[in-house]
Order: sequence, then structure tokens, then C-alpha cells
Amino acid sequence: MNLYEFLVPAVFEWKVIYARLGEEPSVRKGPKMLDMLAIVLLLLLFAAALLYLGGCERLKGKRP
Amino acid sequence: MSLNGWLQIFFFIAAVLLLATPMGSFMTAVFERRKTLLDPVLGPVERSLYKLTGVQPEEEMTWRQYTLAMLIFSAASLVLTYVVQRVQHLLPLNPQHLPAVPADLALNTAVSFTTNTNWQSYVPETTMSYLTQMLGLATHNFWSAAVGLALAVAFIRGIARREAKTLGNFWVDLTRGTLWVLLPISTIFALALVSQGVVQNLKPYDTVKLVEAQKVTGADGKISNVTTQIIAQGPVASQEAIKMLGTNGGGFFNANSAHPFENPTPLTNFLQMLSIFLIPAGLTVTLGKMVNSPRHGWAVLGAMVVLWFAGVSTAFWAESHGNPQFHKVDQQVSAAQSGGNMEGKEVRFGIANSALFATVTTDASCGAVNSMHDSFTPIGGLVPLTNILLGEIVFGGVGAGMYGMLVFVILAVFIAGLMVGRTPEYLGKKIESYDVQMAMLYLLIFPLLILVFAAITIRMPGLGLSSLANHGPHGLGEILYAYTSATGNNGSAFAGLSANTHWYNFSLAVAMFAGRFLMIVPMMAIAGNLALKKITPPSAGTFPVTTPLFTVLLTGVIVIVGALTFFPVLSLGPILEHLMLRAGQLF
Repeated sequence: MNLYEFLVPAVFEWKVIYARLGEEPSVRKGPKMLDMLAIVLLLLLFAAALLYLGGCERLKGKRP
Repeated sequence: MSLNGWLQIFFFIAAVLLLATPMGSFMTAVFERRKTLLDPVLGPVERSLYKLTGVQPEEEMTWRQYTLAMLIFSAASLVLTYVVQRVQHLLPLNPQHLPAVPADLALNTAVSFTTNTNWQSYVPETTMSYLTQMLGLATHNFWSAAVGLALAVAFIRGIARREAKTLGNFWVDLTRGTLWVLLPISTIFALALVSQGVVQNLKPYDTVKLVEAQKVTGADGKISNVTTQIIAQGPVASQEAIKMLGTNGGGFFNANSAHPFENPTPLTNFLQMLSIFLIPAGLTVTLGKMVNSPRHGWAVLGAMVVLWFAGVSTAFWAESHGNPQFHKVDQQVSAAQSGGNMEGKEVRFGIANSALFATVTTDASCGAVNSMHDSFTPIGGLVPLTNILLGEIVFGGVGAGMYGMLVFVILAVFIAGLMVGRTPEYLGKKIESYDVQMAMLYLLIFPLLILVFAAITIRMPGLGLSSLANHGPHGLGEILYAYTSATGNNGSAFAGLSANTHWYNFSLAVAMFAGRFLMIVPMMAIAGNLALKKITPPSAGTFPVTTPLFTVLLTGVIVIVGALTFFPVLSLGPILEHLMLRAGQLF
């Protein structure tokens, strides 16, 4: 399979990507779950960084 | 300790100090957008990039906008690396037909390279395709270093500017750092590496016949007769150059800079160490020039050199004296042998260059290794660990070392102010409660991450201890080193710990992410606040930041903060191991 054959259906159907990743014998069990976990973790980390940025900015207005 | 070893160590630092001024002057010109020799070639490329991306180079950013731009850029590049790894088996330049990288490992690696850590839970030559190495990893070696460089320059602008709301333009600093500083030097360096024998190709791996067949016992207990060996190839030199210059440290091969295709000769070893310190040393000169106080830059460099020397002399001493358990074995240096503790070290580098490399790579947040730190004596291994625990500010990573050191400078100035009972001032700017709050936030996140993650790992045998090779204080040292290396964005491994598990991949990813970005935010808040301030003329009560006394105070603050925070855990790890080794117990 070349890149074109992979990407074209993948644009319309994300399940295709997962199905193809799952077909790989060396991919550990449950690639869907781990992918989702990785994505959720990344979103949480970046959200935490943004909240933290806002917190540091707001702290400036407060004086002890 | 041989005289030859000392001469090599002093020659190395002399070369670093000699190159600091030209490097620092060049970077000042680049980031102040003054003319340089490279402008005729790189100017049109820069302008085209801005046109293509819609960047307005004259637009300045507040500290918040600057930090947000950095976070967005890092998020986008992180996702790219993650996706490339997950679909590498479907992409070209994969002559070994390597499968997709598992999700947890792909996340760990993407975070690792985005944060300039380059922690590697995997064996590169059997995990990453050539495309992944080039598109996913080598590009990050440039980007993460350029991000660090941009942030350091923004911090310096915060100190230098008066009553200003902005710190520069992130996209411009990122572009100029990459095009003017990292690309040209790493290109020349890569060619120098090729001339010494570092490989650079896209060939499939070679299979060679062994001179003598070997009997190997497999995991299933079966003995097989091995007659051939696979020799990995790849575009190594191009990745190696930026790996060192950008203080990234992620090796093309698992053995990193101990591999003869990555670091074949003593000359490449010297150049690699030199390139690690080149930009961080130059940045002290940039600091001096941009804040109009060159002597302040030298005072900061002085503190770095003092701490570097303390580290390298301790490591060299410890490794030269060898293992006290081998008291019946001749471990003296002679014409016939290197002497000392040669376990885990390459014969072509010997004790001095292994101790020096270990010190340099952990002083800076590089993480490349030419010897196995796990095989060092307990005191020898304590040096790289302590270097990272000090906060990666002894030269430090590209940019990250400079802004980390400047946070310590603010703390030192604050403490000096407390001692004399006056409002602390730093280069004419009053240090107020908000600056110190942010500095403390920066300093406290670091031990919090390391100690909490290490404690959780130790308390969960099924998660953290199952993949540990050693027990006792040495095992504690291995776990502590892993989280220290990740949080400090160093990336070197103590070895002895198989980190490619779900727990380590996810927890180390969080440590790397938080150790980078949650420390950058308060640092940038300080920069933004400093830029807003007026300059106060120096008075009799102003503590000078250009004298040897300041260097001593700064060094003392760094050591005390690092020593007090981590002394309890270090005493349970390497220090206890050293005492027990002398009492005859090994781990």
C-alpha cells in the first residue's frame, strides 16, 4: 500500500486507520484504547498549561 | 588521575571559553536583527517563510502572546511526530519494514523530542524508520532547540527593555534561531563528522558474516548458532550534529555516542562535547551584550565554570580510583591500561573523556552518552544525577539553561537584598513579590515532579519495580535518575531500568511535558513583568552583579537550593550505595 492509498480513504473514514493499525502484528493489543488515552492525556496537558498560564497572569493583580 | 586526562579537560574548557565571545556576538546580531555575513543567503529564505505563513515580523508580542505562540507551535509539532510514528509502516523510507510504533511509546517519544528531552524508551535502530528519524525526530532537534533559544532571548529582552509591554516576536526568533544559528553550524558539523567516519546514507541495514560463529541462548532457552550480524545504517551524521548542538541527545542508535557510527574517534568526541556547550556558553555573552553589561555575562559564565569543574573533577576522581571491591586487581593508570573503573566505558575514550562527557552532557540538558552512567561508581554516578538536579543551569540546554540560570540570578539578588535589608535590584530593575513568587513556582515544580513520581513508582511494585534491574540504593538511583532526567529535559538514561512499559511511558511523558512547559510559563511571566519596569540608577545599596562576589553568591544559592531539596533522597541512593560498597556490599 502506498501513501495515497492509505490517506485517501482515511480522510473520510478514521476507522480505516485504526483497522489498518490493528492489522499490524507488532502493535500491542487495544491500539484504539491507547491512542485515545494518549490523545486525552495530551489534551489534558495542554489544557493544564493554558490554565496555568492564565493563573500566573491573574496572580499579578493580587498583592499579599 | 592522569596528567593527560587533566590536560584534555583543561583544553576542552579553554576551547569553550575561546568560542563563547564570537558565538555570543553572532547570536546577539542575529536576534537584534543586525547585519550578518549570512544575510544575503538566508534573508530571502526568511522573508519567503514569513510571506508563506503570514507572519508579520515587525509585530511584537506580550509575554502571554509569546508563550501562547510557543505552546501552539509545540502542540502542532508534537502531534506531527506522534502521527508519523503511528503510521511509519505505511510511509516511505522504511527499508527494514519496521511496524508502527505502539501508541504509548509514540506519545512518550513525541513529548520527549518536543520538550528537547530526547528520552528514548526504545531501541532506535529496531523501532524507528528513516523517515521517522528524519521527519519526526531530527526536525524536533532543530525546533525544540530553537524554541529554547527564542525563550532565552525573550527573557534577556525582558531584562534589557524598560517600560515595555512586549518581548519580541516568537515566530521571528524561532525562524532566525533555526536559520542563522542551528542550520549553518550543524551542516558544517555534520560534514566534519562524515569526514571522521560517521555514516550518512539511506541504505537498508547490512548483513555480514561473523568471523567466528557464536552460540546464543534465546528467550525460550534454546541455543542457536549465530553466523551473521546485522549492521544498522542510516542518515546518522545529519542527526548527530544537531543532536549535540541543540543539546537534544537522542541517539540514532541505542548505544548513542558510544556507537562507533555516531562517535568514531577522539576528535569527534571532542567536537561533540564542544558543540554541547557552544550555544549555552555563547548565550552568557549575548546576555552581557543585550543588557549592556558584558561583565554580568562573564560573572554568570564564571558560576557555570565553577560548577562544571566541581562536577568533572569529582567524576574523574571517582572513576580513576576504580572499584574498591577489586582491591587485589591492579587499577592504576599505566602505559598498558586506562586504569580505574572501565566498566561501561569505551576504550577509545578512556576514563577522562568518559567522565568529562558525562559531566558535560548532564550540565547541559543534552543527554547523549558515550559511556553507561549506570556502570559508574556511586560517587561518579552521583555527579550526572546532581548536575540535572541542580536544574540544568550549568551551561544548561540551548536557551533553557540560560533562562533557568536567570531565575536563579533573580533568587540570588533577592537573597542578597534580604541580607542587606534593601529592596533587591537586578540591573536597575526592582525585584518585587510577583517576580519572586514566579521564581519560586519555577523552582518548586521541578522537585515536586521528580520526588512525587519517584515516590509513586517505588510504592507500586507492579508498575515501577517490575522492570528494574537492580535493587537497594542502586535501584532507587535508577528510578530517581529516570524522573530527574525526564523532568530536567535531559534525556540520558542511567540504564538498568526497562522504561518501555505503559506506566513509564505515560508517567515520564507527563514529567517531561510539565518539566518543560510548566517551568516556561512562570519564567516568561517574570520576563514580561521585568520588561514593564523602570530602570533605577545604581546607588550605594545596589548589589553589584558583575563581581566575583556575585559569582560566589550565585553558585552558593544554586548548590544550597539543589543540595537542600534533594539531599535526603540522594543520601538514600548513591551516597548510601557508596558507603555500602566500601563495606563490601554490591547491588
